[in-house]
Parts: sequence; structure tokens; C-alpha cells
Amino acid sequence: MRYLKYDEQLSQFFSSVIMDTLDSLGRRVQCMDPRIRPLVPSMRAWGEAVTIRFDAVVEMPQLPYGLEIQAVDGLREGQVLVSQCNSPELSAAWGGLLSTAARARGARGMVTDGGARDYAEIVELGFPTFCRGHTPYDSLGRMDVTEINIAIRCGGIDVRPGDLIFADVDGTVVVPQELSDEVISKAWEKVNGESRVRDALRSGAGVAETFAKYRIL
Amino acid sequence: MNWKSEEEKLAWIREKLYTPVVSDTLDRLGFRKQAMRHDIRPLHPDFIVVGRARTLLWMQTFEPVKPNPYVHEIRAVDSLRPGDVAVHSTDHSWTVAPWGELLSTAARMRGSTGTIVDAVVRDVKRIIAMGFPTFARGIMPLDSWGRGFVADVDVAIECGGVEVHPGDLVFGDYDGIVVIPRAVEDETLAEAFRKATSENRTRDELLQGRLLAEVYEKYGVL
Repeated sequence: MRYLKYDEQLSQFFSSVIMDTLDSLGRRVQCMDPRIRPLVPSMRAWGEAVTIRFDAVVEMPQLPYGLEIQAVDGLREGQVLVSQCNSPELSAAWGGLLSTAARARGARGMVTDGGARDYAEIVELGFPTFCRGHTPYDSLGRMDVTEINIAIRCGGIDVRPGDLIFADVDGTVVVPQELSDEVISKAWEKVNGESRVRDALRSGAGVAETFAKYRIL
Repeated sequence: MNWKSEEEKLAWIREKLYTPVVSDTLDRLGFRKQAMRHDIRPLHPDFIVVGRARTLLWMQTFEPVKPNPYVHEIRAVDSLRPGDVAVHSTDHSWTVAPWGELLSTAARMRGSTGTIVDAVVRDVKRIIAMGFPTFARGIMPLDSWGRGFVADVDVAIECGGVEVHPGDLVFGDYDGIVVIPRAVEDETLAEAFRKATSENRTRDELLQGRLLAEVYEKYGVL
């Protein structure tokens, strides 16, 4: 997985600091629709995007869950599955058993603009899951994965396989692969700077003087 | 499945089942639209409701209906029995808050196990504190006085896009709310239990590191 070497730095990031960095590079629309939420506020996920696309169906597919199973079994250490759901009705693009399978492959999380189910099971497992809503409906016969490892648009943002995904309670940010090295390095500088600002504010310095000194807020 | 009593049956559902596995079973039996709209949410993630639907059909009003605008609402709540769940159908006007803390208290004293509202509710912190499983689309402080009127009770209604008949089994948790029609109730419960058992075996094998394709081939559930 291409971002494992940055794991230590990424673990100290927030979606906000990555978004600020993308802003500074002129990429101001890289955060998914705010309706895509973590199942619980403490969930965070980062890693290399693996993409799948669901399309609406009205009858059972020949091979139930065919490509979806293929995608999940193909996940590797440090990857994040991202799914676009082209379906007007909410059904579950994700659930407890899929979380168990993905965790066993070393995947770090799941982001979907569709629904998720088995809330209690996923929370107990602690598999970071970000979705647009809760539903008991199975995807079977409602939508089906028609393509994997293709460019998708999830939560309004283009995602290509290999892009860096960073998701936490503030939102889900997509870092295009070609910008990832630069974004991680600049975000790292900012995180360190923010730590110094926090220390300064804690020791009683005013906001104005601190901002004048560090140019970070 | 042999339940000695209705009470035991409801407790068994709460302990053994969860809404996705029930929804899947209804899917297989050809009932594919039995989950309510996803924006009807529990006020607390731990809330689970299992029980018999008692239906209240609301209409929007613009002044208090004379002589007593609460007449049918009070009658309905006082008539709740152990295991009953008041299910409210409003006209989606967003101005009717059919449920609050006092009604929760009254319903609980009658043995009711929760309520489902396709509109807004109030007194939310108190309802959470008393742990009365309440599912709703939103929260507003409005009283129903002069805004809503219960036109009929114990009639067929639509709630969250699903037709609900008095006596239907309703089951809600954090994943959503399913309505189990009477005609297929026992079949659904027995089959859902079988599927839950297969899901448990699937999970065990996934945790042993087997691939999803192999485990799905074996148990056929996901």
C-alpha cells in the first residue's frame, strides 16, 4: 500500500489540516458531502482508495455480491474501500460481515455515499465506517457492484484508485494521488506548527500575537 | 419456534434478532418494502423497540378541535397494553409533535415498549433519560395543541413509507425499523433466526482468516 510509509504522520493528522493544505494548493473542493458521517464520532480512517461502484438493479443479479466479494477479498493492508452508490433508494453498501472480512485483509476503513447496516456489530468490531444513512435493507436486488477499481464520484468528489483518503468526524477528504507526497509533507509542517501555537496559547499568549508569529490558526 | 407467551416471543426477538436479518428474510419472502424511511431515527443508539403496532392517524389543524383536541390521543395512550407500540402517521407537515415525555411516561405505565413517529418529538433529553425507545424524524418543541388532531386510532396507516396494520409486529434498532406483516410473522422470525445462525458461522470463519468468496460459497449469507 502506497501510504504505509507515511502511517506515523497520517496517524497525527486531522481531515481539517489536510483540507487546509489542499486549499493552499488551490484544490478547494476535495471534501465529500457532509451527510457522509462516521458511525461513531471517534472513528478515523486513512489509506489508499480502492474503488467500487454500485448501480441500481430491480432483480437479483446472476451472481449475488459477485464483484463486491471480489473487491473485499482483494483488499490489502492499509487500504480504504470507497463506494459510489448510483441508487435512488438507500440500501446497505456495507455491513458487519463485510467489515469482519475487510478487517481480516488489513483494510483500514470504508466510505460510501450509500447506507450501512449492522451498526452494533461494526461498532463493536471498531471498523471505521463512513456512510450517508442507516438502513436494514440488503443491497441484494436493490443495487449491485458493476465495476471495481475505476474512477468514481463519491459524495460529490472524484476518487481514483490509489488516491489518499482521510476520514474523521469532521469529514472525508480525498487527496489526489499526484498531490499526496506534497500534501503529507505540508500538512506535517502545519501539524507541528499547530502544536507550537497550542502550546503558546496554553501558556497564556494572546491570539493576535500568536497568529502574527506563526501565521497559523 | 415455540414461544410460551407473547411476552416471551417479544423478548426472544430482542435477544436473538436484529433488523437487517429480519429485512433480508422479508426480502426473500417477497416483502421488499418493509423498512421505514431511513430518516426515522432512534433518539439514542441503544434504543430497541419490539412490539405490536397500535396506530394513530393524525391530521393537521389550525386551531384546537372542539371540545377536546386531545380526546383520541388520550384514549389511544390509555388503551395501550403490554408489548404495544404506538405508531404515528402524520401528514408530514413538520408542525405536529405527537409525542413527548409525559406520553412516554403514560405509555410506559401501561406496559408499552416504545413509539414510532414519522414527524417530530419533544422533551428528548427526558425521554432518553427514562429510556423509552422513541423513533422519530426530527425534534421540535411544539405542542400538538391547535396543530394536530388524532383523527382515528387502530386503523391501517402509512408510516415512513410502509403500510402498518394494527397488530403488526414492529421491530426497530439503530439500523432502522421493519414492519413484519401478520401473515408471515412466524415464518419470518424462524427463517431470520436460521440466517442469523449462518451469519454467526460466517463471521467465525472470516475471523479465522478465510476469504469471503469461500465462506459465502459455503453459507450463502452476507
